[in-house]
Amino acid sequence: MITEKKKLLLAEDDALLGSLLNYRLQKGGYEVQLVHDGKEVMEFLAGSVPDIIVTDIMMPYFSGIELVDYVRNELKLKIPVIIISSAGNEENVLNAFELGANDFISKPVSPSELLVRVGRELGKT
Amino acid sequence: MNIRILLTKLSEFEATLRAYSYEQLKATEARELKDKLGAFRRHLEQKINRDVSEISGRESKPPGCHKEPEIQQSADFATTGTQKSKTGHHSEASESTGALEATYLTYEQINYLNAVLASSDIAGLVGRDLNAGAEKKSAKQAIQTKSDRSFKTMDMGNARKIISKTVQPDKGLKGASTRVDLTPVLEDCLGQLDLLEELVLLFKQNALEFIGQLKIHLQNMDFEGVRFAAHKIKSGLRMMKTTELLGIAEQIEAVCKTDRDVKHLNFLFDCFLEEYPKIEIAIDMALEKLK
Repeated sequence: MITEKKKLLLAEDDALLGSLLNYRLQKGGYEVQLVHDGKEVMEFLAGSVPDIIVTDIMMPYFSGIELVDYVRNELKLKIPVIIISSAGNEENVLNAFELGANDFISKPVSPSELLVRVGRELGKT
Repeated sequence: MNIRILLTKLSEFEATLRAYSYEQLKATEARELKDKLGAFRRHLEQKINRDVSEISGRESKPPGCHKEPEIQQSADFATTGTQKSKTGHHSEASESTGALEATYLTYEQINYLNAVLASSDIAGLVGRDLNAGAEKKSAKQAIQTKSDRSFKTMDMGNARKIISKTVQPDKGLKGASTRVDLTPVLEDCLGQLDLLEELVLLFKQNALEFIGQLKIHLQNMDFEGVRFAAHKIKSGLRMMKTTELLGIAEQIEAVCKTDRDVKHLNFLFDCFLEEYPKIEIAIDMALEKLK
């Protein structure tokens, strides 16, 4: 039986971290779409719906917080959203949770930990 | 051949300078540095070639004939690029390091040289080739001594004035080899060296981009831009375990959030500029070790 890969939208403007996470998530069996800023996020979401979103908070054009708001309140999607936050960004994390984020992971991001968290969130749905 | 290794390292210096000329330094400073390094390289090549020819044409001389080199004035070197040849009786290694010893080094050149010595064990490589009866003074010691003396006698007015509690050139340089360990990153890459190389490349690009952005934002007094840039670079710095640079970036971000002192920010920016080349060399060395 062929199981379809889960689609994951990874929004990370840092090329370094984005490349590493992209590689590890793909190796983890996900179909990853890596976008680098808010504009690309909007473009992607206009055409398709991923199974899960992993997003950085601070991005050009469109923050991770705004993305959560957009996904929950505009698109009315219930897909899991995991936010990547820097240490000392607790206020933003709380805002994201209030807007409907499911989980967060602090920088420095451990790819292995992210894989576990993604798997756990998808296991719930 | 060990001399070739030295030349390779010099090429790396040039590459580093080339990468920074427009982002980090003023055009005139960059040109001056390049000219000096170019002259330094040419001089070294000429001297090594000449010395090697001399060595190959004569038998080994007895040890103990090493004469301490005199410190040359920078103006002579910078303008003419010529130095009088030393004709001491040394082993091949001593001759090759003698070429370095007889050459005036600028502050930056000393830094780069120290970084390479600290991180690549050139001295060890050269030292292994010393003849059994030759003088045992290691190349590293010789060059270090030269560097220290040059540092004391050089015109400090021409040296870059970087004084930091967190960044002290010599201390930082000596730790360059152990400061960056890419093994954990390679593990994150599941052992894929290609990916690690790509990440290192991205890291360098990010750092250069950051330097360029900061320079512009500081000129425009755009503190939010500075803060954002500092925030974004932190992730990569953390990933590459470059704690010194990370500390500077964190301080830049903190200053932007608090008093927005331009003078302090410029100082931190200078610290970053001072520290980054050493880190880049250390990263390259760490990458080489993993290959």
